Amino acid sequence: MILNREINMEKFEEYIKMYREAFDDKELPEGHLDRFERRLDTFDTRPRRSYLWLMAAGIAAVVAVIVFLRLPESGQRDWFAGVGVDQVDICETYYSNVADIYEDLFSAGTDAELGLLAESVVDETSPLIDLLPDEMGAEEKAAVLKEYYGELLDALLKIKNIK
Amino acid sequence: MMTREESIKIYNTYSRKLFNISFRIVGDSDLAEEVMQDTILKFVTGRGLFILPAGADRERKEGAWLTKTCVRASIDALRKKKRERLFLDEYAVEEAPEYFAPVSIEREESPLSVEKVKSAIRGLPGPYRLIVTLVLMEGLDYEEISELTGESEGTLRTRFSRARKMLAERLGDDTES
Repeated sequence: MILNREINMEKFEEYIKMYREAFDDKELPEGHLDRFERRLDTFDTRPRRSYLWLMAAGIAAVVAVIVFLRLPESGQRDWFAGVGVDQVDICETYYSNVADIYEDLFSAGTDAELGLLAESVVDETSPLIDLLPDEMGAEEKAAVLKEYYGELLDALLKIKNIK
Repeated sequence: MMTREESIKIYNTYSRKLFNISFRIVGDSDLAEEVMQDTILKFVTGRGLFILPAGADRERKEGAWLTKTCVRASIDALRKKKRERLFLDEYAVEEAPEYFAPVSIEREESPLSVEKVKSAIRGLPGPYRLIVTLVLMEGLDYEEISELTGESEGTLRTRFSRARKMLAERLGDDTES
């Protein structure tokens, strides 16, 4: 497994390909399989269908809130102006907007039921960012996240304006 | 979702490779294990909504999906870590000495080996190490890397070109033609 010193870059790259597996020589930490099996056990008791059902129920609840509040249109405000396609940036912008609205909502005292309603709107059983299939492109994911979180923020804003 | 036996089989097949892929990117063995296990759990539980049709090339597609998902998760983990620790260098992991401790590249006349190549790669600055890892080790093309990192293909090509020069210098030979 010796590389001749007098090689060009192409040969260097070929060398890496040839001995590719030799580069995967870092040993896994002790106890890794036990830890994996423990994590696997938690999934065994959580069938995928119920997981998706929770997500669907959450989305249905948001839609119901929007309809109930008779929002004229979503997207009245561009919550994600200047934010690109980075999913984490989108989520951070969303959380930042939620924090701003919460601050207004709760600073002057708010009806407890409205507070609960607001919390139910933004409460995600599982963050959408973790649920989007990897087959989707970055732009497609960004569009879904912005639309979904934009609607949540529209609803939250409407709730804030009730108080 | 796969059965427990099927899941363990997948784990035994891919865990080492995925762990090493993640470790090269995040530079932290605990985090690399977490990313590797997340990736495999996503696959075996179907959380990625990924269903492979049965066929002759199923195993190849399986490996490709796991590799790409692991790379993506590793980059996300690295970014998260960077944000948490307010790193200045986009991909640098200065507080992960386990992998990224300064590496002195010897320039003696002895022939190069896998260990020397590894040392030279991990001695590169963060962004250059990442592009070399993704192109040379994981075999991704610029389009795929662009999708993963959000950077333009032109930027990535330029960075890889610079990384090759740095590697050639670090390896102490005339590999750069």
